[in-house]
Amino acid sequence: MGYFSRLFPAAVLLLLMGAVSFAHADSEIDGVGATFPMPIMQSWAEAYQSQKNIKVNYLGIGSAEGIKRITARTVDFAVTDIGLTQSELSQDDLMQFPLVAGGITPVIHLPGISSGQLRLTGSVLADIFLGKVAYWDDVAIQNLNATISLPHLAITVIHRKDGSGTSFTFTSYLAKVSPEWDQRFGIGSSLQWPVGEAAVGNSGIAKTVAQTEGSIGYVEFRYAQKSKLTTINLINHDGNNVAPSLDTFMQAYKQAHWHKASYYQSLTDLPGANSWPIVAMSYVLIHATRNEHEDALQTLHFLEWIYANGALAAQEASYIPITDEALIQAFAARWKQVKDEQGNAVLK
Amino acid sequence: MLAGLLMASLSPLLVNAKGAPVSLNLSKNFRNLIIQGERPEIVACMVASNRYFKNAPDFAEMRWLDSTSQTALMHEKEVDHHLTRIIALHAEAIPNTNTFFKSWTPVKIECFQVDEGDPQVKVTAAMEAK
Repeated sequence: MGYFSRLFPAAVLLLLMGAVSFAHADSEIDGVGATFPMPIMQSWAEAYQSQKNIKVNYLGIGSAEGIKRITARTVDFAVTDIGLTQSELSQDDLMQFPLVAGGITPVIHLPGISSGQLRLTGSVLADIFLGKVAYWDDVAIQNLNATISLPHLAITVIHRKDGSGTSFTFTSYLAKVSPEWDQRFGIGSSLQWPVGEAAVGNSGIAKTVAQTEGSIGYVEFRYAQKSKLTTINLINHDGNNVAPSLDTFMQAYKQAHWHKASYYQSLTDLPGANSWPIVAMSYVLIHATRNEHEDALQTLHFLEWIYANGALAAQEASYIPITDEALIQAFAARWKQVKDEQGNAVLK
Repeated sequence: MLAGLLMASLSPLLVNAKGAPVSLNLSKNFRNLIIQGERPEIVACMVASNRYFKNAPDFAEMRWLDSTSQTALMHEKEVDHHLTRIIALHAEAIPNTNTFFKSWTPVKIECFQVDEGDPQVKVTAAMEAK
C-alpha cells in the first residue's frame, strides 16, 4: 500500500469529523411543557438551528410538568397553556409571555361519520363528559343532528391523564356552558373525571381515539389534522354552527386584550358570529433572574427570533401567532429586565 | 403502659377525624408545592392558606388531605376585563379550643383572587372533608 493510499482513509476521517463538528450546534437551549404547541415548537426549533446554529430541545410533557421544571430551574424555558396570574408569577420570579394561540377541538371515532357532519352544543358536550349522555343515539345528540342516523353505540370518553393546559382550557369551556360541570368539577389541569379513560398528551388522546370505536376526546386542532381524526362542529356562544379552522379560532383570538401584567387570557365561549368556542393560549415562561448568563441570553434571542420570524410557520401549522407590534415591543422591554446573578441586564 | 399514659397527659391528643388518610405535607411555599406536583392553578391558594393558618386565632394547625389537589374546585369569571378566581379546597384543621382533647376537623377553604392579586382566604367548618 502506497503512502497516499494509507493517508486517504485518515483524510476522509478528518473531513468527516470536520463536517460533524460543523453540523453540531454551537450551543443548546432546553425547554419543556405543553404538548399543545409542540408541532410549532419543533418547527421553530428546526428553523432556528438551521439559521442560527443553536439547538433548541423542546420536550412536550404537559403544561403542569413544564411549570414544575421551570420552577425547579432545570430548563431554560417552559411553555404552558395553564396561564399563571401575576400573583403566581411573582412568587417564583417568573415572566410569562403569550406565544401562540390555537383551537382545541372535540374529536370522535364514529363509523360512517366524517368531519363536520356531527354538531353539538356545549351543554350536550358537557353532559357527555359528565357521563349523562352515554350513547351516540341519545335523544340530546339526535335532536341536534336530525339528518344523521346515529348508531346505538356506547360513548367512550377519553381525557388527559397528565396535568394538562389543554384540559385546563377544555374544562374552562365546559364550566362556562354547563352549570353542573362548573359546580361539580370546575376548571382543572388535572381532575377526577366522572367517566372515561385516560391518555397522556395530545398525541396520546389522538392515538386512543383513533383506536377506540365510539370514543370522543379533545385535542389541539393540529393533532386532529395530523391523525386524520373526525372533528365535530359546535354551536357557539351566539348560537351559530361553527367548524374548527384557523379562521374561526382567529375570530375568538381577536377578542384578546392585553392589559393584565401576566398577559393571561381566557378565550373560551366568547361571542362572535363565527367564533370557535375553545381557543387556548400557550405562554412561554422564563425566569427574571438567571445564574447562567449565556443560557439566558440564548433563550431571549430565541424568543426574539420567534416573534420576528415565526409567524408564517405558525399559521401554516394552524396556530395563531402573536404579531401585534406594540405588544412585541412591550415584551422586548420586559426582556431587558432579565438579569444575571450579578444583577446585570442579560440583553444589552 | 405507664409511659403511654404519661405521654398522653403531657401532650394534647391528636385524633384523625374519621380515620381519613392524610399527607404530611410540609411544603409551604409556591416553589416547593409546584415541584412536588400540585396543580399549578391551585398553588397560590394553598400558599395563601398556609399563611392564613399560621396567624389564625381560631386554629392551631392545618394539614392538607391526600385528596386535596384532585378535589379542588376552581371557578373563574371575567366581567369587563376584571378576572375573579374562586378556589375551594378541603383540608383538616385543629380548632383552638380550651378542651384537653384536640382533634383534626374537616374545613373548607375558599380563596378569592381578584385581578391577579393575592388570594383572600375564608375558612369554614365542613361537615365532611372529601
